[in-house]
Amino acid sequence: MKPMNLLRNLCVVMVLAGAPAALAAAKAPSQLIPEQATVCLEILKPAPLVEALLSPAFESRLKGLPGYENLVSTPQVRDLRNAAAMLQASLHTNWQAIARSVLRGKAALAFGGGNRHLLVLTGDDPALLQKLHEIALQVARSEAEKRGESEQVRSMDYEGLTGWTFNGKEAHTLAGNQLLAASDAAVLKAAVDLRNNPGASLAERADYKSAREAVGPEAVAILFLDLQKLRTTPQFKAMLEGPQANPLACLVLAEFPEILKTARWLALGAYIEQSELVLRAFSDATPPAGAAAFAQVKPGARGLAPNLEVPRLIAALNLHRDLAGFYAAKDTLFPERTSGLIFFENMMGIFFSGRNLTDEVLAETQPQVQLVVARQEYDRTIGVPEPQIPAFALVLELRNPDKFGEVLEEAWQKALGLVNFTRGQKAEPGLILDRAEHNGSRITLAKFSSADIQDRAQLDTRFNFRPSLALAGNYAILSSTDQLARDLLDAAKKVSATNSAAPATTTSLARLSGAHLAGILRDNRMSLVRGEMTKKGKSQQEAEAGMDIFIALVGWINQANLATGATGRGQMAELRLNFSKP
Amino acid sequence: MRPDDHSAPQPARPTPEAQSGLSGVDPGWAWAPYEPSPAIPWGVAPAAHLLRRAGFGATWQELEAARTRGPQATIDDLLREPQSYAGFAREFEVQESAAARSGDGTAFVTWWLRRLHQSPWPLLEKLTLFWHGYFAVRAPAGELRLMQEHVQLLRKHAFATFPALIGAVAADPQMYTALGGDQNRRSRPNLPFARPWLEDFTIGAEGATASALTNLARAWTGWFVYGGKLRFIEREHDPESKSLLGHEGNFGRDDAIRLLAEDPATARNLAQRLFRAFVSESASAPAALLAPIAERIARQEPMVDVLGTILRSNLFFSGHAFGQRIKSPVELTVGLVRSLEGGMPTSRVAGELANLGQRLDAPPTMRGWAGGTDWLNSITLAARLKLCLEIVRGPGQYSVGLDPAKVAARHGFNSPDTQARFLLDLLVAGPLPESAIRSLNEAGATSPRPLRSLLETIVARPEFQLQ
Repeated sequence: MKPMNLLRNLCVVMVLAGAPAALAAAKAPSQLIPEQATVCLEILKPAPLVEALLSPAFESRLKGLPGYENLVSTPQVRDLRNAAAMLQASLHTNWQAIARSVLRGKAALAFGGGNRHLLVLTGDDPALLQKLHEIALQVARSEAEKRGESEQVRSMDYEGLTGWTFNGKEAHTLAGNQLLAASDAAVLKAAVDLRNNPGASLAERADYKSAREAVGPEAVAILFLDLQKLRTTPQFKAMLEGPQANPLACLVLAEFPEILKTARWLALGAYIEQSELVLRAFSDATPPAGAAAFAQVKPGARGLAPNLEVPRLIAALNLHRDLAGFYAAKDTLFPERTSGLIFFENMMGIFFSGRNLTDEVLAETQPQVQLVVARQEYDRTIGVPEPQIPAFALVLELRNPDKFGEVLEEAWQKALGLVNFTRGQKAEPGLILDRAEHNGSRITLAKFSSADIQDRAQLDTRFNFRPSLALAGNYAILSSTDQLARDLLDAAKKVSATNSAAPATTTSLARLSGAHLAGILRDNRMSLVRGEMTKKGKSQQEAEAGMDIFIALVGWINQANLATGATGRGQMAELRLNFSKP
Repeated sequence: MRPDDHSAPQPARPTPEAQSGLSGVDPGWAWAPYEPSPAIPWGVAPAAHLLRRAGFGATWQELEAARTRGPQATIDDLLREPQSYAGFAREFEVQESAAARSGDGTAFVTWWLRRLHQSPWPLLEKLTLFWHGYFAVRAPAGELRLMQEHVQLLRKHAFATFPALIGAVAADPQMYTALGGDQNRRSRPNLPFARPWLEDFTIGAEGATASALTNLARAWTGWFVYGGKLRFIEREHDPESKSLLGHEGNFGRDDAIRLLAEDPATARNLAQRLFRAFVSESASAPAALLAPIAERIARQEPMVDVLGTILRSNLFFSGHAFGQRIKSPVELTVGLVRSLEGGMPTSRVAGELANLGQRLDAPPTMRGWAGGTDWLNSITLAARLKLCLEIVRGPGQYSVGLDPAKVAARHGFNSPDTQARFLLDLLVAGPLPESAIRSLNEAGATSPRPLRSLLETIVARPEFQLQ
């Protein structure tokens, strides 16, 4: 079997390439990757990333992680530190200099079908690479001898290079200032063949060239996905079929499933812009006419209004979606009549007194849908529930608020009545209905009484909810708490005043606040720890340590902003990550 | 004993005795304390048998401790509260309460399973599970807190006298909610509510005449659950005289329960259920054989003593008991993971156990899980095998950190032969035929992961389904 054939299922590739002057003789990593690669992650400008990872600020961040001291005192990390000390002593330099030298150039790593992978790493000092390899070889030989498997460390010459394996399976070689490391000898031979002779590499593929052109020269990294090959894998197929079974996913994801079904390639470019990490997605897909039309901004229509800003905001999702158009196309978008869908339609029929859901209910809304999630501030005189569930709200804009506002209010009150009736059947406390005003807007709210509760330190989950409907101007706010409804009323007033809008090509805006997300995770730490213990079989100590690190990492993100919508360059989405100061 | 010393004689295969039945067994011999003898010596196999029946499998360390201390001292330890139990119980009660408060039925079962897996006092959990199958009620929708308190009550009184236990159960709001106690009114006593107390919990169906049912329901009138609390409403209680089990009087609930609990038929029924749960499911025990146990129950001896008598007995360590029970799904999975010192993602395992017929918060009938061969049919047998294979293949969805090679090495078993023996002693009730051991060794020898393959072959054997 030809080596290239063995690479047919190669899946992921990551490439590192070095300083231009020093590495002039080395081929670009993508030229060493066989053309059958399915996924390729290539780091085009490693310097900013390497410097960020080696910076004192990052080191102090790591040291600030909960459990850092415990982590570095584990035997594995101790061994690693000893190895680093040995390297430093052997090479008469520090480990940061070693890392900079090895990681200076472009880098690429590839994984493939059947766990095949290829790493191409380009340093700037062949002698240093050679010394590092000699040290690693000594350690590997010693470990293999201890296991009584010394025959597993062996070498073989091929095309003027010496290939090594440390465990009888993986294969690697040093070629000048490049390290080529593969999952097996066949993959390594294919890479060496491409190094020595012109051949069909990933770099020569037209779709890869298009992807590189799309992400532009300013990208620091690119992830290239061959969607035609990925679509043949069962996992990817299942992922594409998911939205069809879930109307909500279908509504939120809009044209994305169609793009993933039809595009030949998808590329993610990473950029560093004014200390923000920016990820942009590109593809060659042109969604077929009519696909996800419900999410497209019609010519002349106003673009998405900005996200409503409320205090303690965890996340916001702002969608341009024509709900009536979406539901009218339901037989195409999610053809299966699931029991959940039938139940939903029956309930809507009851709440809206038999009105046609598409034409007489959803058509009354503008194609602007916002979902807002925010932390709650609990009234200490009532108590604090456990777990603490964030408040969430759906914000709609009505076409005829004077006419449809009352219809919506009637439906809302029916829904609350049904909740009360159902809870009463189970002898559970019901909601007390109430009306309130906030800056001239009316709120229909419902709350649970806490009068008979003895222990207010840990109230029942139901005390997370005070379901409310607020109507103000064109806005209809359906919120899990009246507090969030009030905050949204204030925010809506500010937006009306500024009247700013996103570009007409933007179909979705999402925002996430790392600090508030970390806050709600911290508030629910014990509930989450309990979940980790039972879902993953961890001890309490392990679960707590893992959760604390996760919460700290979430807190590193100051803000994440996602915008989606097709542009002329083939860009589909942009995610901007802004990190908090250490 | 050296870790690789397996030359000690093993107990004889139980088959001949089990096949001969229990009719000829002398009760005096049966319930006399077992003393190791050349015919039935004390060793790893009887210790494993004891720890499997009195808990959920044993680690090698526990097996070794039992082997060293001998049968009677080991049983003393099993019956006595370990020092670490109080702290463990406090921690789990907090977690279980939180799970019950969340209203998530899966979370409640998940924590219960974790308790079974980690408890330092496995016999208490085994007995609590027995009582849960005895007073078998399901968790009504949205009433998990009552269910949690019910199980906690069973745990608290598990080793007490039977009258004390059933007295506490009779005052448990969960029983009223689950059995329809709210329909038991003075004007119309609810016989379906009274029926399980007679037929399933005490004297049995033979004594449950229409008159007994009516009078028991009448004695019970006046008790209702409001907001999760049991309350007595005087005007709803029937104050007239009642006739129950040959006694006349103006009985209330507690009087009636006392009469039922003290009836000799109750003791006989309970002895039969205990025998089936702890000794053998394969043969029905004659009344004469169970009479000494029933007498102890009737004398209101605490269950800790009654159970102690059963566990210490010649009968328990004889071929009439060895391998004469089919593992319940909980025993099968928790025992496997526990023995191999692995962790258990209980939320995933709980779902699989429900598929195998044992959802802990929902016994199928008023008489609990039938057990025995009812656990097995062509579908559940395949599913049990698949789940066990998933557990031992690790790392997977159903076990964490389960590494037979590491466990074997930790206990000094380094050669393939001793490792095979080690796994068999840990996991299989009684010795296997030589031909089976040969095939196990062959399975191990031809695999790139010999010990895992061996383990997979062991859990696939019919003997592994027994305890």
